Amino acid sequence: MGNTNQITAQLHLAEAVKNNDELVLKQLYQECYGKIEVHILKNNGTKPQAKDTYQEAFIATWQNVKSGKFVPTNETALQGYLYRIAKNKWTDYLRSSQFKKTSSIGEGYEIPDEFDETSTDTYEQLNNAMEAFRQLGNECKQLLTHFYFEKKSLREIAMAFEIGEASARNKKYRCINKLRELAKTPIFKNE
Amino acid sequence: MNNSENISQERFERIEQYLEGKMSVDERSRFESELTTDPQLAEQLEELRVLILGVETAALKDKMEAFHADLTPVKDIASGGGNRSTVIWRWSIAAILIVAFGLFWMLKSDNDYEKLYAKHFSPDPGLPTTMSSTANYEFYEGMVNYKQGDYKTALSKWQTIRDDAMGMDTLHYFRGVAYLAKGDPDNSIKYLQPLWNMEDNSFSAETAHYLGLAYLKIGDIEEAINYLTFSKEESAKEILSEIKD
Repeated sequence: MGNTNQITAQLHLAEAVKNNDELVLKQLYQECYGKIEVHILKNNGTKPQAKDTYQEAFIATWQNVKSGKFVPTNETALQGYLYRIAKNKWTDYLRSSQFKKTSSIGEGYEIPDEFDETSTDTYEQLNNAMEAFRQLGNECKQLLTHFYFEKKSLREIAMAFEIGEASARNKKYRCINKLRELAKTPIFKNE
Repeated sequence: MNNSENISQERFERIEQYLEGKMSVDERSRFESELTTDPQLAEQLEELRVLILGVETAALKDKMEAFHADLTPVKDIASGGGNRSTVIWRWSIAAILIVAFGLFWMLKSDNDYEKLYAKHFSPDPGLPTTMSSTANYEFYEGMVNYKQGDYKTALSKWQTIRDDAMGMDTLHYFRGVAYLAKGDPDNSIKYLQPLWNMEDNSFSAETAHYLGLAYLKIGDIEEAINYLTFSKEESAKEILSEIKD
């Protein structure tokens, strides 16, 4: 019986991830973290490294679900995908820093690091955008987060900010312009 | 990219609607054909796509910090593991303990161990069930029963889940604990033992804890001590010292 149920559950999960459903993201995050941490600790890593690697993998997974690059199939559950990306990231890290491209791959399954498929150019632009976002004023940050991440409607946002819907809409436009400006002036970026 | 031109609000909102998938089929195909003839539009689309993705990614990063800070104790176990040499080292300690306390076990009756078990056994609190409507439906349904102490129902719901459907270790771990909680240490060991032997087990310290308790319940003190040494629970230390006494 499991198969169709499982695949439906996976599709629902992917859909919820796409929509940034916070509860689902949280559940997924917490469900898979322990396993990755164990893996990284067992392989010469520290807890902070485990956290960083995992979060990078989590973002990559989320982006690939959003862009449709990852579609759950029978065999590939999202959790497994996340796990593999994190594991690969850690392998890459070990190779780059400590093992200097000597030892060959030990694990049977290697998938290309999906994150790095994005050109360095786009990657840099994305970092720029994130840095710009951090420099935004609180009100813009909140408004844009409500709208783009939490997928709230303008009406809900207007209510939260106790303003009219039209001014919420204008405000969003102003915030985006501010963000564009900040992203174009690459001062003190660097994280 | 250097498109410092102003994007009008109207144009921005169109691009946004496209990006957010809020256009009708007609609008969408019109927009897409415009893209092929208007390179500026294509450029602005790309710029806004990256900006919005940046907003979402930055927001996700913040959320992840909150998720991380709020990792449940169930997950905080993860620090278990250790490399091969520490494993050997830990087994050596276990071996020393066995020898040191050897004499005392023989003097204890099974009944005492049963009491010790009863005093210290408490089931794993379980996982949050927030995802019940979306993923791993059967597992989280069973988890609700598990948390209510209805281990029989939980186990029967988990019976149908395929091993590869989710983290196999999570499933086996909770099956093992549920069997133990319902007073069936033999079946519990059947699930926990292979889990303990597994390479990537996110629950190694807990697995050891419940394996130890299962062996304690059946009166196999040697094995109980073996496993409880790996547990991180306060109660395991108490059991070990009580076995000594």
